[in-house]
Amino acid sequence: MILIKQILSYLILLGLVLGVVYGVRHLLSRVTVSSDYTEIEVPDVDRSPSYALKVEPLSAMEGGEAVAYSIPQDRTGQGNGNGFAWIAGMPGDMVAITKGVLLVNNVPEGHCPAMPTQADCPPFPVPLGHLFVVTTGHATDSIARGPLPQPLILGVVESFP
Amino acid sequence: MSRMIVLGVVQFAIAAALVALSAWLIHGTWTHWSGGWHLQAAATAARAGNRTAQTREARAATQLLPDEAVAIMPEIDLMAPEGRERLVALQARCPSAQQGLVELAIALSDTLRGQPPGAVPADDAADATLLTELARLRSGAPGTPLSSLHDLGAPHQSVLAAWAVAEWRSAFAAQDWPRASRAAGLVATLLPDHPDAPLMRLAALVLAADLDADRLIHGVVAGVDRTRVLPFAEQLARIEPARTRAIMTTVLGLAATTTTAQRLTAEVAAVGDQGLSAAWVQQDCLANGQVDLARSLIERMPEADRGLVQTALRNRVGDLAELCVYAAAEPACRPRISVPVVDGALISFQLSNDYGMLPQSNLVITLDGAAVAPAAILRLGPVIGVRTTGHGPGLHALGVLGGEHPIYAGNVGL
Repeated sequence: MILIKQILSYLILLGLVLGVVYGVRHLLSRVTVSSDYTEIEVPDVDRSPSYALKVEPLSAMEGGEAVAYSIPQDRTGQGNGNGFAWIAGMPGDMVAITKGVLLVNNVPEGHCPAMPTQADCPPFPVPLGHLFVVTTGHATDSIARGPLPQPLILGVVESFP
Repeated sequence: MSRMIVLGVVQFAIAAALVALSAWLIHGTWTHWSGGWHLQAAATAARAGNRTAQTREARAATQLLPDEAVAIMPEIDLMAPEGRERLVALQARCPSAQQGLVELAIALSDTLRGQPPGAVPADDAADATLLTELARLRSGAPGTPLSSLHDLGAPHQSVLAAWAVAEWRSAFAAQDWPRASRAAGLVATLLPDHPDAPLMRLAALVLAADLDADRLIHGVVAGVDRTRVLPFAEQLARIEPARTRAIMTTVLGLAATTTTAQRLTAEVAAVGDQGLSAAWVQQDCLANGQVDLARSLIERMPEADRGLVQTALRNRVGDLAELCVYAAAEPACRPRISVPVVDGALISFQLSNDYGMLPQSNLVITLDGAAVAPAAILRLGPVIGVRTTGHGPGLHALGVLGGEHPIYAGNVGL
């Protein structure tokens, strides 16, 4: 009888631990942004403060997917928080800016609005362990902050609600 | 009873072991998390060009993760021989998965210190190509387009950035402005948080084959310390004098509708502490006919440069009487004329000096001792024509004076 009680208590404890692990994992797999975040625009979608993420290695990601990332502080101290961006270039893709148009492997990138004031940039390969990401406003994406290093990538956004 | 005690002791032992295991896991996790946090801070500082913060954060990461190459390498100065020695020592003890990274860092260190690039991991074709190009650039050879990297895979960010900076320096030194423009655009895109990135954006736009003033004027240097921007902008304006207006309007934060006089006034105000040189601004003022503004700068110039500026001003003003007096101290300023040529009733000659001065005032011409009426004197730049109406054929005495000072006296035959 005592043994059964002990086994039951262990099972309850195990259940609690698994519950905590699942809860933490669920929290970590969601990302929140401030309600006034406007760096990325998704048409016909209700803005929500929280999005589900799929954490996967860089090699499994694809151009055109949306990623959530930690915005690194720049030299003025701006940029804390999370952001979303479209993947424009994967490691090894050749990225260039010509007359305000972002070209990836010599093809205009679909998600990147024209940048009429941007200086031209000759084709260069996206570095290893980095993504070239773009947003609508260009305030915190690779145009403004450079190629995004892997440690800052939180995951791929599974779907916008 | 004894069985219960044994069970209790076993349970206690298991619990103690689990607590110890948990503490070890928590400590390890905390150490890695803290080390990773410091590494991220070091990477951010490196992108922003803050070497002090980069070293501080990298040292903190090194203390937490002493055997991790990725934690130790940001602290190492690749330009220093001691840095290479530390990398070699690190290569001997770091995990095998990080050996290639350290090997690449050693090759980059060698290249940056002017040595031939050493071995590079076999699967790093793009890095190997970039290091070879980097070595060529550092030896003074011209660069090759980066498109040659296509299909070679992805290089490491640090190698790519080092190549881009070297390409910019090489192109600038070679005065290959289109190439310098492309390299500046690449540096600005790869390292947009670096303090010099706005200057690179400025250079990319100014040195481009086609200047787009709209692109230039939309805040490429907004928020950047003027004392850093203005000397660089002046250098670019010396390279591309035809684009001076667009460059200075942009870096001084002036409206596109600003007049030339307003821009030059702003340039004069920015001389000295703000970074523009008095000599260059004075030239810009003279080139735009703002002699008084140019004269106002003399007091703000180094003593050694004032004589040259005063000479330039006098020649710009073109007062022949003043130049005749000043010629005693500076013979090259003496006005002189070419051999007079007679064509019908017109005597013509060129009046200038060694500085290419255009005569502006105090020009007096006499014919047979009588002053020629101003209406009979024709001027086209340095070329002077004198109508001889009323003077018959024969030899006539021609005199050219700067006020009361003789410049030429001789005879001409009509």
